[in-house]
Amino acid sequence: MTTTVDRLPGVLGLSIPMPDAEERVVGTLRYTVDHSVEGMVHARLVRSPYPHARIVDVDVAGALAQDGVLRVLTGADIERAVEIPNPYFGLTRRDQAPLAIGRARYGGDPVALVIAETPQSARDGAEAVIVDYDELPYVIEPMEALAAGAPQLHEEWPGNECGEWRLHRGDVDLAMSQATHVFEATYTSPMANAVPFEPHVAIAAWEGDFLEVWTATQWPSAVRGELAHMFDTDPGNVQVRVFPLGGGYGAKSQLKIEPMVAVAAKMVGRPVRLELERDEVFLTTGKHPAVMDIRTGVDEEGRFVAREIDLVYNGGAYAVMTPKAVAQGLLRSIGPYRFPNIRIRSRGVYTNTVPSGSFRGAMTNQAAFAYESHTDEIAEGLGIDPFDLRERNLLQEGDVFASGQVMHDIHFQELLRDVAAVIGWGEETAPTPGKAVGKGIAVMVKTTPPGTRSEVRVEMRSDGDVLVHTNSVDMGQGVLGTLTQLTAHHLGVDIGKVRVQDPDSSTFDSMTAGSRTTFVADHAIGEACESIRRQVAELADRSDHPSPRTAADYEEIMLGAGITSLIGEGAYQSPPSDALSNPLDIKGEVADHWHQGAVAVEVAVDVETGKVEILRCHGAAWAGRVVNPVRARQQSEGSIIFGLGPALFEEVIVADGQVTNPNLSDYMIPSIVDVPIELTSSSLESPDRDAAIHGVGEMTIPAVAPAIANAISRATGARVRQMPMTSERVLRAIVGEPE
Amino acid sequence: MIRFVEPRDLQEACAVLADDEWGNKVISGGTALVLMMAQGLIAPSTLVNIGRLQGMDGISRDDARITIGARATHRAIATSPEVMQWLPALADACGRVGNVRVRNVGTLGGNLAEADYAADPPTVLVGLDAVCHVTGPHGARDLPVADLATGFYSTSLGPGEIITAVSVPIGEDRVSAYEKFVSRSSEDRPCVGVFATARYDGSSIEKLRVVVGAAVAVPRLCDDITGSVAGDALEDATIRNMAAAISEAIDPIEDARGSAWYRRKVTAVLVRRAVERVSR
Amino acid sequence: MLVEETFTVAAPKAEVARFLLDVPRMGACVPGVEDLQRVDEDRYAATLLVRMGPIQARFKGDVTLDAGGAPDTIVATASGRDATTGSVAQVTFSADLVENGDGSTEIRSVSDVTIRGRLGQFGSGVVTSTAREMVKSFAQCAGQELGGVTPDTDQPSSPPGAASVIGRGLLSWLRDIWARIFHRGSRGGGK
Repeated sequence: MTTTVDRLPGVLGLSIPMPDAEERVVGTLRYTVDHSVEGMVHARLVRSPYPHARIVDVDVAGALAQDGVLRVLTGADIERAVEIPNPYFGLTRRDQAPLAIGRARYGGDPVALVIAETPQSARDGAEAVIVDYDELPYVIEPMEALAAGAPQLHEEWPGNECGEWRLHRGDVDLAMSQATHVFEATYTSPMANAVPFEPHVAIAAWEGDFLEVWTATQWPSAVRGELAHMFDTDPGNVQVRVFPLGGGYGAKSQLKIEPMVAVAAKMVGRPVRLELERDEVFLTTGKHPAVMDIRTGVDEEGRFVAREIDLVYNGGAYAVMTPKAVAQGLLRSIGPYRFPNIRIRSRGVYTNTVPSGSFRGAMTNQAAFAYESHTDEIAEGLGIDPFDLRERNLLQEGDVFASGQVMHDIHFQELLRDVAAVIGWGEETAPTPGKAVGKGIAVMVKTTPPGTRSEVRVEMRSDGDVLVHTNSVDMGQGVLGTLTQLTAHHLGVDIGKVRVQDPDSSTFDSMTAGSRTTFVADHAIGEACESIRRQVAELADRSDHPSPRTAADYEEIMLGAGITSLIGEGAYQSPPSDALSNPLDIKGEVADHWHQGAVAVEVAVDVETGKVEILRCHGAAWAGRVVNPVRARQQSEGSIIFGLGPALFEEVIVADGQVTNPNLSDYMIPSIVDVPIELTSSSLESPDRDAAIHGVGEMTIPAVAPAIANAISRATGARVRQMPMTSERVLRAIVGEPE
Repeated sequence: MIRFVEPRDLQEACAVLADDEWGNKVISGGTALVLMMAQGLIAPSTLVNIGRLQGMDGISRDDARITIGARATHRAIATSPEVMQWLPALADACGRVGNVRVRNVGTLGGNLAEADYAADPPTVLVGLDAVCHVTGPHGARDLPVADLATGFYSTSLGPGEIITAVSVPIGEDRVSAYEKFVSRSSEDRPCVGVFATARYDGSSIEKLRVVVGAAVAVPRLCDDITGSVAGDALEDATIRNMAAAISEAIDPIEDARGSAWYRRKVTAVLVRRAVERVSR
Repeated sequence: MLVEETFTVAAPKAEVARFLLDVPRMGACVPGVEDLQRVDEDRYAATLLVRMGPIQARFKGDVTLDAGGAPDTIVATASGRDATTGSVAQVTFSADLVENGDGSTEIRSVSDVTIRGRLGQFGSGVVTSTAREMVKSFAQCAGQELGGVTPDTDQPSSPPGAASVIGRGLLSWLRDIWARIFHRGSRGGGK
């Protein structure tokens, strides 16, 4: 007996508003920062001003004497506490404690935590804590940290090594020696901060052995796992609850302040809330600073015959994801081109600075800036049009990626042609008085890591309501709406009947990150709904009810059988791969599917000041099938704006071992006035109605910076190889005045 | 706990301020003050809210001067018909402070009293011979805006003194222009600001004045360099030489917006552009 | 950041060195020093009140003197913490003394200032400017103490005890008063 309920036509592809759109605009949507728990008290962190120092003593007497202060915790307290069997946490290396134990490893490293009745008393208490430090030599630059004799961050990881990965294919040295031309350059990116509107905020409460945590996180399942480990308890005893996030962008990935509140709540016996100030957000996480050396050998026809890449990522004081992230960094440094011979080394390094974490466009922005700037430099060197050079080398269906994986469902040429057409590539640009005008293009590819998992549970009720349980987090990308639409589509019910629940720990999701949610949700929800439809069909069979044709039939069948709810479970597990099993020899299937994007931009440069104005910008993302056209556009355009900042303005500045601009007056994010009036995007689809749905959350970010760099070069002849491309850097490149 | 005081009149405000020069601070629009408090850089014990004091936010004109109340917001000044007509460069400068939200709340008096080097209105006011009207515990006095800022975030205001108004002379045949350069996002404070004003006698420039701001600790009046420039038409070479001389003469600041080298370069460009704009 | 200031005092090198090594005497010339107390032979506890614009910071800590290179070079290292902002300041002040033929001594000072924590956000321009004002003020006072000053600095600052970056108007007024009290030559008026 087959289920025959028709899927409602056209739910996919409709620009249906997010279910909570009005609440978001009017301001009634509740975020974690709005939440409170009865009886909760407040925490404030004391942070090391030194980039590297031994913690000799923490004098808490003055703090405890402040009105309202209940307790002050130090790293030493945490280390000794029997309630905290495993104080160190981390998803790759457990090298970080909620409060620094023994020594502070970066300027901003939390060393003490004050718990008080009110936020103000917590603040007053924190001011009164006196820490006696013994300053140690510190190191900020990765290359210096790798050198012999450098200050060591972690005893277990000598040489400040934080991950090393290599990939090689063919014979690079031979190919380079035979190449007609060899091009070489170095490109750098500093740390940037995602500046989520809502800061990191969390509340923890213990009820006996049961821990409940409300936190603004993108990775609730990971938080749950690590907290369970910290207190040596079953993950079933830890519940992580997430409200929609006031922005994530990678800043709320992995674990951030959850261990601190969990520990504080345990030690003080009351729920504890911690909310970070803006400057603290800057001191908590950021995008990996990176230096990429790139060398390319080409033949007479401009085909890439060999490439060599050396990547160094600054991981900051704690590992977080770095040892694994730099593997993704390696894979994402290759770009969408054919390289018969290629050799890459990618390293992460510990330094005494803010720990690096995820950032939208993870480990791709820095690399795409390098390789797509480099593509244009090669084109310039050979006298070939950059568009033609790309066409000649872009990977196509069936080509082999540098890791040896055969590539399918890739559409780089389409993306390139789309952006080139929109920007009018090859057409004469109208001159602007006093400015040099130029166009630039860039194409990027991003791997989607294999081996992630998402579970979904769908509950169909006899009154027609459908509840969806996932652990996907809505951070403004509209996952709520997407999951609603997908469920309505797969189950064949009216969209108004579907209610997606807030994430809780009843299902597992590796992470809401990497633009994976739509793709995996489609699979998982499809499976869950298929299960429900099968169950309904069986019920129909047993009761001799005619085959269910519409959603109304479901209700009838269920009521007739006396069943009030049916549950379907689905999961998507991206096939694991052993390609990364040998870090020094990556080989094999490295991507579950490929994220693909391109950007074209037209700029006007004031050659006397170096000021860059973006006249027009167009981004294209491969969507496969578009779930919601408006939302896809919003994501692509939002991504471009997100990419403008680090391309032109954003830089976390470190001097004397500390961040000197941890605020929004000195760290400049784009305002709406910086966004070009002509900002457009395409979401390219397959003609196949069952094509895979690709996520579009980050696709147009990585190509923004290189497209701008290329446009500046075509306009002025000046090449900037450092992000952000501030007016000063552009002017220095134009007049040839090094920094 | 911070004490919040709303004085009934200026005398009371001045008295409270004078009582503790460092702990008691005026709050007007609050855009700078509250930011510094939020960043934990200052911790005043008392905030003296002058928001209720009458008569400090008006803009009026007589034959000789336009008088702007210290509590007038940048937006009010930028959109005031009087200012737009008689002091268009000032309207322009005020209209470019920060962003529209800051302009709606931030006040001219606060801007001047903060003496942040990276600001727009002071550069123009210095160039226009504007005068600050100040009231303090010992009475009222006037001082030229040019004498107000003395260094980073420092003014020559004494304990308990509050700026109540700024007045600017009008009536001369003048062409003025303000050039603002931001090196990063559009909301950034200025990297360099240059104000140029030419007083005309018929079609001939009688006096040319240039002020450089934002690139330096306090607005730099460049009369020593422009003083001798006058005449019917300014030649390109004259303008370029003057721009180069001014660029050499300033002592530029280095910060996240630009290095000293960069600020010199941009100053020369802006001086040239501003002077070209005021040459008929 | 480094702040370099050179000034000349009308006293021979040995006397200048003695002055610089006499922490209470030398400390009295540093604007904003409070509660200077000896802890041991070369170490003193002190609080330094510094004003940078509207911001006031009280750095509480200590000063250590290194007399090993005297009378040619004197080095003082100070570090302190400001409770309100949790910032720490470290200064290494080194003075190279060069005897001129005429009984005066040129003092070439280099102050290496590092401010960490919240106040570090304030910008190197402001910190450098404040440090420079303090050194100039110190120079002025040291000169007076040692018998007349001909500072190479062009902007003499306030008398000790008021560590603010004082306004120009007030500055000239104070300078006049100081000069009148001590009947000593001071650089002519003007900014």
